[in-house]
Amino acid sequence: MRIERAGLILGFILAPIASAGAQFTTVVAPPPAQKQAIAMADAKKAEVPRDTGHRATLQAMSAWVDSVAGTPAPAVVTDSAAGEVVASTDSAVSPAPRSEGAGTTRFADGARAPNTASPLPLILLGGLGALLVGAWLLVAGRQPATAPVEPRRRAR
Amino acid sequence: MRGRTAVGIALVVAGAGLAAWAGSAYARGWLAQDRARSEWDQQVARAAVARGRALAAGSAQAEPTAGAPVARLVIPKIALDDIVLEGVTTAALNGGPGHLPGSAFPGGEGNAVISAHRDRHFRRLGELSIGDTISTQTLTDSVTWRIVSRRVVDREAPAIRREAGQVLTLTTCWPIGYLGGAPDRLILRAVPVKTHAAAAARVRAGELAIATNASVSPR
Repeated sequence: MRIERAGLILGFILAPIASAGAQFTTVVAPPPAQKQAIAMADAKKAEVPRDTGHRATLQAMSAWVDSVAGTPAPAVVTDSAAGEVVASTDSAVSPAPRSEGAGTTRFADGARAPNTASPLPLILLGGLGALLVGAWLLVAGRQPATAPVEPRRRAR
Repeated sequence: MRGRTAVGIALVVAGAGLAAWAGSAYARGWLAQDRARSEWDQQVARAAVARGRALAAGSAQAEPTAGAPVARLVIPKIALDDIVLEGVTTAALNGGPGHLPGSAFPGGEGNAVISAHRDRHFRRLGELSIGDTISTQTLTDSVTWRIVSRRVVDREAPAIRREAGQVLTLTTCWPIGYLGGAPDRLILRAVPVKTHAAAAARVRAGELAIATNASVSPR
């Protein structure tokens, strides 16, 4: 009786473990044949030449749509020197305005008079003023303090 | 007391530095004008030789380098006799009146613009009035001018105009006694009264023509 009961319990424990083990093995190890198939597909993809005609057709379609809509299509650069092309500035753009402080340095019709303002007089006067004030401070600082008044001797 | 002494020393040092810097700028300007005068004399002599060899063509003058002496400006009324330097940069104006590059040379066709600082070479320009005379001398021509207009304009106003005939324009800052950046410009416009070839050039060219038996006759 005891042996039958023990065998039944053991059977209940081992049965789910065996089925679970079968499920784990299928997930962890993928079949090697699938990797090879992917590699072969990539190699074939690289060997296929690019279809430039398809792209040109799309660009032409874009230009055609733009022309119908009334907007000029952007120029598409296709040659090999495209990397060296430098965008040129529009020659019709007016020159940058001069700064307010800049004076006229070359003749032009309608130009301002050359900047003849000079800070030298102001600097010279400021320097002389500072010199005088500093000298006065130094001279006044060196004057001896007033001598203490001696107490008057008492008249005997 | 110590603080007062320190402030005094600082003021003396700073003031002496500023005054020395400004004074040295004035001294450099005076030296530059002196150098320009001697260089101008040499140029006049060289031009006379060139004229004697008939190398100088008419009154056309090539554009000189910046800072080079280009003319002599004489205004008897204000006792001005200075050499005009090419350019209106700070360095050129420190040495003397500056000729605006691109404008005509005094005596040439067009507007000849000469500018100077109001605290140096043109400090008495405000004393001039309509009718006063100005003399200019280039390597090829000497011209006597008469002032025909005198106006004060804002410093941002378009004051320089292209002219058809011979015109001399003198500009400086205004007011003359203003401390700091002056807000206006004094513009004097003069037209020629008399034009003749430079006397020195004539004499030297004649001497050279005689010495070399050249067939060039002095103007």
